[in-house]
Amino acid sequence: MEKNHFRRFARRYVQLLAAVLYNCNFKGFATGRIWQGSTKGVCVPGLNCYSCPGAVAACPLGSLQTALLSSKYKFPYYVLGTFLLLGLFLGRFICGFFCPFGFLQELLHKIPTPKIQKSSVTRILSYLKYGVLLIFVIAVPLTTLAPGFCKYLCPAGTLEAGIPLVLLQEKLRALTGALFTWKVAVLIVILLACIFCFRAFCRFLCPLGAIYSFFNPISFFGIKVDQTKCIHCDACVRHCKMDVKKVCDRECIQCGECISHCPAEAIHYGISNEEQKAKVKRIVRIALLMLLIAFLVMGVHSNGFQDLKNKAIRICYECMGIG
Amino acid sequence: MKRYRLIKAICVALTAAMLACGVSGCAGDDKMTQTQEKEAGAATKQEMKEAAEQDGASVQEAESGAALESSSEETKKDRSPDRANATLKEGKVKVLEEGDVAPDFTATLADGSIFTLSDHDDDVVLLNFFATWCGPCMREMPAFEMLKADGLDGVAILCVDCMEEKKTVDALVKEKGYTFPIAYDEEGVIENYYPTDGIPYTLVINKGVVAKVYLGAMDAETQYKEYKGAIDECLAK
Repeated sequence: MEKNHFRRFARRYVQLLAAVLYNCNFKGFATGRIWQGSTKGVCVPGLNCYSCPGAVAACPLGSLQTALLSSKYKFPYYVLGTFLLLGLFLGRFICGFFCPFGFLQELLHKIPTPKIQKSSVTRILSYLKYGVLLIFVIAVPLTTLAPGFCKYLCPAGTLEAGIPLVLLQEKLRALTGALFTWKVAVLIVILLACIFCFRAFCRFLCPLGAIYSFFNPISFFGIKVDQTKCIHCDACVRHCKMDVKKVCDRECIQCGECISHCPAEAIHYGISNEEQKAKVKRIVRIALLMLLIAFLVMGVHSNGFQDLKNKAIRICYECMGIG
Repeated sequence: MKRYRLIKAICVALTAAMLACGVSGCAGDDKMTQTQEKEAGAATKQEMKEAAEQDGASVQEAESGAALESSSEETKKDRSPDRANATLKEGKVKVLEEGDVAPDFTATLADGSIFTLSDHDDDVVLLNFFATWCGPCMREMPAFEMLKADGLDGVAILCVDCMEEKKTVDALVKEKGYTFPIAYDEEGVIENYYPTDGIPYTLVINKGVVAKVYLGAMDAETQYKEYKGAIDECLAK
């Protein structure tokens, strides 16, 4: 009984623990003050606004945007190294297990309503997130000196930081305007969409998922298919709620749903299988691994940890829709 | 089975990490508060000591706030005890509000000169906290250049960079060619006396007293008008 319960809800427990771990500054929710400890010098893997009163670490996407903002004065080795580390080792396994906003979307999808099934339209829409990444995360910070995604779109920032801080701090209430209203509207639309469409934000808009998706085929850890056992029945793809064409492609969040539907027991979690197309993958992995080590060493050497902490211990007004 | 063993291991690891983070986090919080208290306390003691060397009447005047209306020399002298208290409230660093006495500090500027707030006790001081990674901070920067170009008598401008390396600040000054005073604060010493949750954070200080506090910023034009209005108001007093 206990074993079955754990089997059924194992991923939920990990998601819940990750959400609590990222936001364990419980005192902050009562006082409206954000955490200013040293842990803010480290990025969590999932989307979690560092201006959230509970957040004890930095958001990778927010960190990337602020790093790009000042990149002409200091190259963001540390943040880019962190992305390489997370992507190369876990890929979109992070989306399936360590993202609090993904967890929230899955819970919303449990509300019993008619559901929108995946189709060729949703598959096309899944490319939207690459546009969001290019425009809002890269182009806008570099050209207009604003963290574009945080400022105009990020629903996690509005939910975790904007709304709680505006409620808790009177002086911030006076600063809210049209941008805050826009961000709340975006949040409401996204949350409503998630009730009808499985992980709508992750599938169509999330630029963090877009970044991790590039690493999915080469990540060291994740879902693997044993080709010797696979009977090519496509049960895995049919039962998957994401817009995947095959297991562990760019859209796969490695939730493990396909494992229970595979009649041949050919799918499992594990370390990368070097037998498949090993040569190219191995070269890419080694190159990225070397780059990651170089970036992290240079990042730490150039005070990257302290820089990130100094950013993340301050409220990002734009993330909240102010300014 | 392997899958669930793995997930169990992740759960255990996350729980351990959470506990470790919580424990070290709380310790860090205490440590940070203690450090801030210690720093603020040290400054307070120093300033109190200086104040104690002055006559008792001036202390009384300072407490009543009447000293600010007297001559500049007396103003400087009398404000010391208040300045000391300005940094502390219930044992913690105080978030400044309008009407509070601005804590004194000395900063090294990007051009190599020194800025001491108490040297500008007769002036209106526009004190801004910024960082190069902060979008709104960078967008409002031209407003300070415009204010400097206005050349107003009795007005001092100071922008304090929040805990970035000197070379980063130098690169900004070189690239943008700003001529208004920009101060380094690599260790966050000045910021300790002007605590804020977020930047840009700007204070208009009139004769040593905080007259206006701004959180966040719009574009340079809007901020110029806003700051100019506040400065003119202070100069008219």
